[in-house]
Amino acid sequence: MFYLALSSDRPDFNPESLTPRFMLWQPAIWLLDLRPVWPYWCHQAGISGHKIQTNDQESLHAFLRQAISLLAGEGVRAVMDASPWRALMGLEVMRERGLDGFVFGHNPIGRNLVNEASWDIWFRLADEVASHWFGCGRERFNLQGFRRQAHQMEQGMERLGIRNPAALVEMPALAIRRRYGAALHDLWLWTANLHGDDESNLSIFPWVLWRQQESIQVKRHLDTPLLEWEHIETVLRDDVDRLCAQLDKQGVGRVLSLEWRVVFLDLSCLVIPIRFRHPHDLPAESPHHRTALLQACYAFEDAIPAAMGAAVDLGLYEKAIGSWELLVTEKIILPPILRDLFGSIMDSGEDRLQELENRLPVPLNAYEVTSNWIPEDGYCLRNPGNSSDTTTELMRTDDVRHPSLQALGRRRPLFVYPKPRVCPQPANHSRAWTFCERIMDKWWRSGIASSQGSMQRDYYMMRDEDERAVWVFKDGSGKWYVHGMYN
Amino acid sequence: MVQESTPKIPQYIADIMAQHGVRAGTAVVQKTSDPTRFFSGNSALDEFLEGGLASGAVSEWGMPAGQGAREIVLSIVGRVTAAEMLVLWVNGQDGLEVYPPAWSARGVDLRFIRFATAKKPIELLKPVFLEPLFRLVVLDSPKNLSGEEWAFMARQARAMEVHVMVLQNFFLSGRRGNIWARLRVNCRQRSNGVRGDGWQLEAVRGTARQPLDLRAIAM
Repeated sequence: MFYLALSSDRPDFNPESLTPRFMLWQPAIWLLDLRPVWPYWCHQAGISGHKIQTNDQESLHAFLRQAISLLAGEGVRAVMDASPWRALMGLEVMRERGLDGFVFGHNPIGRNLVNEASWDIWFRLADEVASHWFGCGRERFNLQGFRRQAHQMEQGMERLGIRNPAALVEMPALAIRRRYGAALHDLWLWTANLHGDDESNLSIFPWVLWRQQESIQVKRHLDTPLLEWEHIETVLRDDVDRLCAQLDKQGVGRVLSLEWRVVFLDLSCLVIPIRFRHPHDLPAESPHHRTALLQACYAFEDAIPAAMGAAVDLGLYEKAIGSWELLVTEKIILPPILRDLFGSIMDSGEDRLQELENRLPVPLNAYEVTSNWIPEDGYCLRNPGNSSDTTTELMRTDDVRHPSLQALGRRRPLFVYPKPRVCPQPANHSRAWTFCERIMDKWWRSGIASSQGSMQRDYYMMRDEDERAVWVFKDGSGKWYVHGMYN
Repeated sequence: MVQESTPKIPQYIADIMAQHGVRAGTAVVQKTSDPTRFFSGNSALDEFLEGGLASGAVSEWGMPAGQGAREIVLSIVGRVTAAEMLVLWVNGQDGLEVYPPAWSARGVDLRFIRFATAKKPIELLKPVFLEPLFRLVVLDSPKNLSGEEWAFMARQARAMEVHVMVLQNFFLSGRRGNIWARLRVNCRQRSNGVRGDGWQLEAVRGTARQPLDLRAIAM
């Protein structure tokens, strides 16, 4: 549930208070993508992970409802859903009925809103999407052709007497594609949610990110060309400080990413992205800017060797840096009204763990166990910040499956291979084998039912040729795999 | 509880010894604050470790792959997370990832443990050692730690009152010493069929205890 469709008449409403990724869908209608900042808001709401328990979900809903009311006014209309398309549909239904408030798409109210959307709303939204596709330059897309096909589809639905899109949800998307073309097929996929919230499906959504007219940036022309990080760091520190001065003018902000555009003496250009895992309070670290410079150093060490290697060998000096631009590409602004309300949470200082993660080149992952017996699906990242399978359920201690899954977990190894590795059939040493468990894969998942032989897995603990205890399984077709090791 | 036998030494000598991280015999140098020990919950193991692992120190463990010896470490990690202290596990094993449900089933509270992947942990995770955020840091199979890296770890562990456990994929040798690790222990599986029947812990350095036969840790 990361997409928020919001309608607000407040002229001073700034979606950048919630996320750096948003677009102006229509006048006074904003579409926000909360994925980059989801862990941050979950943390501020005092809960962890987007896969949250019932009571925590209510806390998060209450938090977001309060925050949005403060920012957008009491008369705000907002729908939050796992798909931007469904969020927009829900919002249109609310507008049509004159409803205000904040609705979550996965609640019964939210689901009903989307299900009750009429064909008028559907085709109106489809036309808006088409306009954005045309503006983005979608490949092989013809706006007039689309409108013709949409009109044919509208007439078809009227002739068939189909009341609204929800009544046709069983219609395969391929049938829509054959009759009305690829673009309407894509819209139908989103409507019928045929692939859940598959990211590959949503990748064709026409995001036109809002860009501030005045970007926060500093430029630097070096008196002496620089090559080594030790020399670059001192100068870059000053520039980060200059950026902070501009940030301060816009109000308190948290930075998610910077872009460092480096120009070499041979006038070639290299863009080095500098990303923070969590929204980072850049001005708070003035003047040392340890976190920003650490991330800049990691990005520099990753990017520069490739750039040097690709250079024409005119001599090393030509690949020295002559100038650069440093700009803020993603940030959120925290207005006083939000800080005042949640002062007890926000002013207690940034979470030390998030601050530490911002200084590291690798993430510090935390996990949660799910109520799933398939080993690969048995856990998920805590606070993933990305959309994932919404059918995943976290394990709760009062779940009736908890004791069985705990017993399974005790027999499984601490370390596994991300993908089971095919191995030759082990020699049959009866002393070296222990049967562990038999599991069946989820036959109802598409693609698996057709290969029934591979659905069953018989797991064993055995000793390999190096006398290491490994976790292997044989699938229904007789193939053997190594899945883990008892280290 | 730590059982200490503190010999009578003048305080100024004790201070100098503390500065150099030197212990006197079986004594534990008194610190101004209570030292934190990390226990496993297994009395035989805790006695072998002379009252658990001390904070502010580094230990090295010889645990080759496929022997299940990391279950011993998990008994300590589980107790630390149960006390709501943060643990960092840095995995340097080739190709293998942690399987969290198995950790949870063995008593580790996943809310208080973080996992990172790094073969060169000191190089990549230096900021971690500059903060007292994680009370226990486990470096699992790091690649070729240099003397400077060991020295840095030991110094920072002392300064931050953190315990760092380094798990090696080979058995430790007394011939090739390591002055930075206060405790060095080899864990050999007592083989009995595929499951094994526990482990034998043998101290290479740091404890005068006899080798310990440890049964499989009950979870």
